[in-house]
Amino acid sequence: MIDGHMTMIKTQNVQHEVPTHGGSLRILKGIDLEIKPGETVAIIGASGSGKSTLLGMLAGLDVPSQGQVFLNNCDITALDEEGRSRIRSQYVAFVFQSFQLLGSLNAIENVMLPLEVKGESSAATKAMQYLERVGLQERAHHYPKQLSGGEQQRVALARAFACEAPIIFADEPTGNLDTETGSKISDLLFSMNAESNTTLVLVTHSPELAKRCQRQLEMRSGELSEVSV
Amino acid sequence: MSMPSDTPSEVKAPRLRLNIRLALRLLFRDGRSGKLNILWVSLLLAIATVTSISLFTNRIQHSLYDEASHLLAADISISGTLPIPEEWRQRAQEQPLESANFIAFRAMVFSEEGMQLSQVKAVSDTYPLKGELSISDQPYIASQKVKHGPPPGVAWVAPRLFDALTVSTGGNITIGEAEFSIGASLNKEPDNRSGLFGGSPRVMIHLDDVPRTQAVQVGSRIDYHWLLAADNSEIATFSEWLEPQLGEHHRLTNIDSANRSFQNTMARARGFLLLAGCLSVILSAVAIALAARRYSKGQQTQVALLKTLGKTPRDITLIYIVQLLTIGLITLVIGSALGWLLHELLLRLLTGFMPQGLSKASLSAYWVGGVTGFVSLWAFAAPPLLALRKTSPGSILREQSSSALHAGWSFFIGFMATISLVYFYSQDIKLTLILTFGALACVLGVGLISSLLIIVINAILKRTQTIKNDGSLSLQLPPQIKLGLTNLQRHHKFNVLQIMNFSILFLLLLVILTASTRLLDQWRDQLPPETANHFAFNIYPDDIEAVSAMLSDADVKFSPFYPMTRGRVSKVNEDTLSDRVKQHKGRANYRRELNLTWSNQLGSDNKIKSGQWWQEGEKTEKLMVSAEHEYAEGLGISVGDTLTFSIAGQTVSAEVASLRKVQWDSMNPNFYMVFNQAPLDGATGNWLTSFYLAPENKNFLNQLARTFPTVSLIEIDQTIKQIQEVISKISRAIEFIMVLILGSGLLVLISSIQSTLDLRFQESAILRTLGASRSLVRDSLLVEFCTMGLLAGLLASVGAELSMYFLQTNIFNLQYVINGWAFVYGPLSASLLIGFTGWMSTRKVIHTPPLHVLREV
Repeated sequence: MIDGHMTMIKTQNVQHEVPTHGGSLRILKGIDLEIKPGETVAIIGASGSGKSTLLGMLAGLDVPSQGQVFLNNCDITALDEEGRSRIRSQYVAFVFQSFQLLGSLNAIENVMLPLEVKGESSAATKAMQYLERVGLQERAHHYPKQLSGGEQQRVALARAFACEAPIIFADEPTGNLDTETGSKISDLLFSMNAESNTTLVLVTHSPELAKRCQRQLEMRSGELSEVSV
Repeated sequence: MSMPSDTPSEVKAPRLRLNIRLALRLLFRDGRSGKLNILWVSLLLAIATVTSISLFTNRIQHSLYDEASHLLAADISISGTLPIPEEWRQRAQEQPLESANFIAFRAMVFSEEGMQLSQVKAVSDTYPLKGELSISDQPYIASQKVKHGPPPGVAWVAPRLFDALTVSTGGNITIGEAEFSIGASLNKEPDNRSGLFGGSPRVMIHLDDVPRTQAVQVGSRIDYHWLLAADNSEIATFSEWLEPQLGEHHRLTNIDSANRSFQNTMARARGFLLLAGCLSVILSAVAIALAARRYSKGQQTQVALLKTLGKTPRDITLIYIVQLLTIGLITLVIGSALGWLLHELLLRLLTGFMPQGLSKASLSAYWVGGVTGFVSLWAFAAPPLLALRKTSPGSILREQSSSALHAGWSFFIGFMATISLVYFYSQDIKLTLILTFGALACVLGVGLISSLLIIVINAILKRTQTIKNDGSLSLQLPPQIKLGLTNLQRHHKFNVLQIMNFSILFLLLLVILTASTRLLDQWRDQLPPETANHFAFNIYPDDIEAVSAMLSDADVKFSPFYPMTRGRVSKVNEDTLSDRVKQHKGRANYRRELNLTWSNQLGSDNKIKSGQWWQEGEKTEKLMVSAEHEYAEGLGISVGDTLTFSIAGQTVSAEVASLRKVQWDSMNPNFYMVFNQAPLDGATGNWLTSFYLAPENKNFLNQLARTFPTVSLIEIDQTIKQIQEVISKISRAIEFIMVLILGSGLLVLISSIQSTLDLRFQESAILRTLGASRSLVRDSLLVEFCTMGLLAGLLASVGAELSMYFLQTNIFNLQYVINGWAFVYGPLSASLLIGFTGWMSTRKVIHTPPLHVLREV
């Protein structure tokens, strides 16, 4: 159960370093953050500022060198990979910049994948419903190679919402698309998010996309600050 | 909030079943999309090739064994100068073993026109137990095969006797008091291994006729033979029981000891078949390794994605175990069936070339291919796939490929698996070790040398730049060559791996090619067309000149004359022979009489293993002897020991001066013991020679026998023919197998070239977007591939010659002769092949718009 009064995502003094040839590089410098259930949050910042790294930490895809990350009050930094996987399966869905559809699966099978992972018996029916929501029911049996960039990202959106997870992490969801297609995708993302009342955390370069979020956070040299909207 | 449980409410199926279902679905989808094609094909090809070769070689080996048992007309034979004890017969009946009997004795055979001392063989109804007899109505015409000997009252006689006795089929001959009707010309007996005193022409009669002849009297010299056949374990049990009871009057002969010359031929045939099988196992393993590496690379995104969807590392492991098991089982079944079909097809194609009615394959031959495929799959595909459990889910955000498994471990696991497979296949530790160390040396040596070669190329490239600046002689390279070489040098590590890969594949291909040509040629040459096929012995010293003159006049090639006497070894140093036999568990029958000779010259087919051969003309008072090394080993004899011989009732001692290795299959006169002088004072002995007689000149034997009635003759032309037939049949079979392996080796080579094209495609596409012309891109790729091929070919040629040296000298006991041309055609053909394949594969990058290429890569 998600408690509406609690925080959905919380970090405490998250720091991250990566080894380099000359020593180590600090990518995240003491990040403290709280995101409430149903909130939409944009993380903006220049290339290399650490946005995607932070997203990975928040989603439990990676572990920070120091600090704690809580998802629905569970300290995921204290869990091992098995534990984090279980958390992800319950709370998290993703939309990626480069879509990350599996080339050997057609559109509907890509959407079915998270449902099959969970053992849903009516995976195909549900997946088709989500494809209808993104307007791609006619292309359900097309492979990623046969779809345009915009269509591929719509399939990816259908897949993310098919997870029926309370949080959606989106990493530059329009980054690989032209302005017009990008705008259509963001419309779809926000409308689906509103319908599902999910928490949305997105990393973007696009000020237009960021403006559509309730909150904007800016990463600058590994430090995070709230941007007043 | 509480921690998520293992079985969240929305999970409708238990975790294990869920993962199995997901694994199978993903596998099915990967299979449908063609991602698995290379792995499927290499696994199926590996299992099918190894199964077919294993079935094929196994059946040929069994046939060879059967053919060898035909040489004995049984599985074992017990012979002696006394009748076979009743107790032994009873034991054989109880087991039960099939049995046959014959007795052999010398008797004068008379016709109305003449008489001839002959070797009579009186056989029971069941003779021969193995193999067939060849007879014909007339001598020297095509034979027909029959299962058993003549009925009572009928005699089958050697072709030579028709002339010697001036008789024909239907005529009569007399042996002792009994008259026989001549039923046929006896052209071939399966077990015609005439001992040195069995040189008279053969007459075969029924065993029941012996009493009628009254030729066998008390004191007559008779050899009793008892033949037995059964399956291997029965025979082994019986032999074990019988051996301690044999005593001095009986000896047991099994297939291995039946005919030494044939044994060597068979051992080499087995060696060739084994080598062919091992090479196919290694090639299959390499093919699977390449395919598995490609497949597992393509799985990284999927794993990262599954992890973002909540799959745990344990789930990932389970998913890949299920997939590997499924792939393994499906390919095992289909591959084995394909292998069986392929071997049937091979046999159909080879009808007429192969021995008729090949024996059945043993059960193990059916699953050798499956085991190879399954083990290779787990050794090569499982480690990288199972290591994917460590893939960081975060890698999906950074789009980086993480190699979860250390390359060293992959190599180690693969290498150990290949060694185990080769040992499993060959059961031959020596062959396995030679191939292992050969492969290790190749990998290390090739890695080192290819690094050096690329450094040299780098130096050449630098030189082309610096010399230009100081105005001295400039070494100008055309742009495409320079670009090609720069590419080669730029991806230094990648290319070193590539060259290693190509060299090792090429090395295997060269070994296969060389083995199938050079080794087989040498093998065939060991018994050249005019190998001596007759022995003449009991030649008195006074007759030597006349016999050699008669041979020369008839244009017959003959070997030097050797003196010969018979004797037994009675003591080794102070030990009696019985003690030595017990101590050293020698398997040969050491109590039998040996043929002894003396000579100053070491035979051309003899090699000194230890000690020294006496120099020609070296006069010594002391009697010295040179012993055959295997015989010596069986009795624990070494150089410097004193051997006591019993010769013609006298005892003489000689010091062992050397141990010799004898090439028994040369068909020259050869001896276990060679003295430096006549062992008995004044003993001149009888002399012996060997000569070649063409089939159409067989009548010359009669002239020789008439002119020198005391000279005994042995015809071994049939044995030689049998050996030559085996060699020729096996050679054809091996050549065919080699072509098959060569074909699959080339496929592996081509697929390994193609697997490395992605990087080059990407770079070439970028070059084209930067304005490079099609021809510049094509030619530079061609230069890069041809240079790599040249380097790989050069290294492979060196490696192949080294391997051939070890194989020829250690496995096949053949002489190694270096082939200089190998260093020319090896690199050239590798360069052409790799260049051509690379060029064919890069046509895509030349003819497709660069953007398409970049999108697809």
